[in-house]
Amino acid sequence: MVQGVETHSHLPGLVVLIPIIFTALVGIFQKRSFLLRNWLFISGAAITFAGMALMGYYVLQGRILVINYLVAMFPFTITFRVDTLSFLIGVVAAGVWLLASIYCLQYMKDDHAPNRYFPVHIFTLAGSLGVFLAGNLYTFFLFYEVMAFSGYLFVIHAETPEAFKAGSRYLMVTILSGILVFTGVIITYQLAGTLDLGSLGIIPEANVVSLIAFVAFIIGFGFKAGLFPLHTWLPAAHPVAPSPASALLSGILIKTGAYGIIRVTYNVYGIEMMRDTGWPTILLIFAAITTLYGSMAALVQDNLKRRLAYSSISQIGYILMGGALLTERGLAGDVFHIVSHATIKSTLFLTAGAIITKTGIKYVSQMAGVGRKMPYTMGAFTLAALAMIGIPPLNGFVSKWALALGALDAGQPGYAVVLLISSMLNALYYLPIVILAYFRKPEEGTVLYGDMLRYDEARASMLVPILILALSLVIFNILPVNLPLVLAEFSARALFQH
Amino acid sequence: MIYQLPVLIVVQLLLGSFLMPIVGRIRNQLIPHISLFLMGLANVFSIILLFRVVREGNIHYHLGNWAPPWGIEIVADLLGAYMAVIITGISFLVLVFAWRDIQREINYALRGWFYTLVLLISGAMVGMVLTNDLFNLYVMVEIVSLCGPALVAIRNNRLAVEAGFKYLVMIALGSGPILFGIALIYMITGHLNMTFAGQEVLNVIHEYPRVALLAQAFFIVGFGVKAALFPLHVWLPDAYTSAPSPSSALLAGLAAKVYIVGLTRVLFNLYGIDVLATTPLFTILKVMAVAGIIMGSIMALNQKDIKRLVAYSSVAQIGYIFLGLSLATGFSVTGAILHILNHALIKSMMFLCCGVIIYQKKTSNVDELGGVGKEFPITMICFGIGAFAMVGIPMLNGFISKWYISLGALEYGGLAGLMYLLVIIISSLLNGLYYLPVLIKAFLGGDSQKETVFDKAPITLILPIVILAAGIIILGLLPFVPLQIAADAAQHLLGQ
Repeated sequence: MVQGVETHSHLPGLVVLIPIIFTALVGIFQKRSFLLRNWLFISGAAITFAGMALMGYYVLQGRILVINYLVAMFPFTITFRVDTLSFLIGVVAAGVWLLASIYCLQYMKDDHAPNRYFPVHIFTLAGSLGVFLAGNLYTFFLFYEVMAFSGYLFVIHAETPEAFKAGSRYLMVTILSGILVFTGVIITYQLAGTLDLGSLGIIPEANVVSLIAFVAFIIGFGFKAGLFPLHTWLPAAHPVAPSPASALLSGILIKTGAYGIIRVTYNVYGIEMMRDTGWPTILLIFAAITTLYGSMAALVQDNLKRRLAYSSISQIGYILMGGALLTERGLAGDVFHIVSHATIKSTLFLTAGAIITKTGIKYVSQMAGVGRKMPYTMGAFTLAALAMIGIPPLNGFVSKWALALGALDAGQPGYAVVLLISSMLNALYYLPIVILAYFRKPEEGTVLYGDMLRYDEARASMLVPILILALSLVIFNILPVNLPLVLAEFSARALFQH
Repeated sequence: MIYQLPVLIVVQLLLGSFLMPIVGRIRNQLIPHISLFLMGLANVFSIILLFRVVREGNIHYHLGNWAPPWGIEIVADLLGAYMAVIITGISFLVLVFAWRDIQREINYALRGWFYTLVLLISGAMVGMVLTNDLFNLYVMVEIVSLCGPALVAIRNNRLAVEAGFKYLVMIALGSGPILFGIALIYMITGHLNMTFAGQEVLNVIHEYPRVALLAQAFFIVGFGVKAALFPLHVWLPDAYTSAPSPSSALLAGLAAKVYIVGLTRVLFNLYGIDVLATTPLFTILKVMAVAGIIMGSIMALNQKDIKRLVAYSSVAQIGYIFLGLSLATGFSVTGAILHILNHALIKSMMFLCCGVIIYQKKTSNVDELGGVGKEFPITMICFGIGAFAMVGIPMLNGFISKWYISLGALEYGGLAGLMYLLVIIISSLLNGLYYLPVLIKAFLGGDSQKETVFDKAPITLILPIVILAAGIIILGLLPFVPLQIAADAAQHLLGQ
């Protein structure tokens, strides 16, 4: 691939607009007919995914898609800019979203408030893609807020007291994160006179003010991503949300924070200033703590979705570490792990949701026998768990490999050790679930409903998305060219160019 | 004819207002129609005036063809013309809203007077933003100040009369200092025309530094009371809470802002930025503004009455405007003037939303408003748009003004600038903390206990709100026109 010829295209704008249009359509027609709503809902996500995939045609040719709207309103210009990084994360987000959408038709069938959930589900896609495709910080911030506030409706969806409690925490974090990012953005504009994300480093010099902006960005995005000690909303919010929503919260939405940190580090400040000042070291240290803390906290959780949520925190630690190492291979690992964690964690949350709908099991300790009752679901879970631990040829292995190489490149072997320890901890909290599910006999009275001894798999419309996701954990890594890895390496190289 | 426009708008509204009692004698039902017609006409005239000013520059009009410095001069500049559009436009929407709403809130016998007062106060507000004559300005200020309490007390229950009286006393206390200030300026310069007096002040300031300073202090206190600058805001929460909703929308959205425009005009035109910078004025204003932002937001946090909550939020927003003005950098003054324009839309809309809630539910207690979002979604979505605009979500106009005030704080520079930025973002956080629970309660808080009066709110209540909400979004997405006007006004005020 050759680097960066900018091409004008309305495609990115359309891709962000389509989910918004379909939100309106779903909102209008959902009361008329369920069937129509389902079709609109799926086709909204599908068309968006198709649009995203179409961009791949251009991006693989080495082009960068750029489009500006409202240019006269500078600095309030809406700009989309799709380079390899934006494309890779965007297409994965749209893909996971499509699968989660298919899944939630069945999952949300008997829901108490589908008329709220379905429009919000598809609207949040617009917010997330807007973040990933944004070409300037204003657009980024705009969609970041849209995505964050609509995520609130995911969290409180159950309308139980715990959900509202988690929701108010989420809301507090969202506002805090929003104003901190705003602070960063406004200081950037004051210092640089532009908000463009197209160049590598727009902040002219490193001083106290730009340090304040950097810290504001890191804390602001850290809240969203779940960086220790700003993570407290995350284990509260993920378990109470409906499973497809948890999958998206954990798989995609918290990645906006990680993605924001990459963009800020490499596009706003630029690699050279970051190397000279050494500011990312703070991030590196906190990311390492996050990794270990998340894994250790996950060990003691009995609530399955809560355990997955803590595992997300630990994985976000990997991701942030990769970016903060300031090496090309580290960044490639960062980007690749954003992608692989998006798929792995969505698989895990969707399987958790399938288990909940079929048996009512919410706790790890009740899971004995699930493997016999739901072999395919549990198979997907096992595969994802192994990927999380980092067994080759699963994608979790590839990202850990890249991250470890990045740590060695940076002359920081300590962080490779952190990765190893955390992988071991991953094994300690994922494998017991698998063992329990397959090799233990169910005890009496542990499940709410369903016969634990009889084969009873989830409906195809839930199972197929899970299986596709599970397949994606393997398939790309056994092909001769690991396309996501190539794209990740390429986007990392683009951010290191001078 | 075009060149008569500035005065025509004012005269037409004032005359219309005096006609209303007579119309009422003939046929009471005609009053709303005629006042709506007059206000609509005034709005059309203002829009024509704005276009004319954009194309041809300022329009100077000499009343009775007496040239200044002797005659009264009316100057329609960009800011004045734009304010006139906003004032007549919002007043028109408020009158539309009032059509049904005051049937609930105001006694039959007093309804005619409501229209008289609205026409009078709008005319005077337009006069205040267009005049270039100090004494004429004072007259307009007095008219607005007297109409305000009347618009509160017209609800004619114990609370409203009490609040109206309190408002009257406070605001009348503010009038005295303004008159003193004008007298002092007249004494040292011999002029009442702001342009001439401004030139003269520069000549005589070395002879009478204390007098000039004293006049300045009088202006700040006088206008500060009227605009509810913290800690002179004590009349505001009671007045806005107990007034009929259309009155609250007018007073909070427009009257408070117009005083700020008046104060800005007087201070910057008379003294100029260089003189102002040598006095402690800006320091005092900054302290008061910051205190207002923080205290207003904190007070709003504890309010159970939705109108009171919105009223306290006004105190904070006025603090924003004064902070922007007193930082006195290009961006911050631009932001302050933008916020005058933007906040007028937001606050009027929010009070009208409160009006719908009260109209439908007969309660304004936040705790009793669970589930209202499901019952009248349009109103509450508009309320949400207003709330998000206050928090400063991009694409809404509140973000644009917050952006410029924050940029101004950074431009101000140093640690102090960062502190002001911190104040602004803390206030955004607090805005979120007091508005969002209302929204959450409204949309997710179970079903309402109170009965709804009508299944569907009358269209005349909903339409003004929707138009204002659309305005908030449009001006947030395409802030070009107000931004140009604010930047132009800021440039003019700072003499760059």
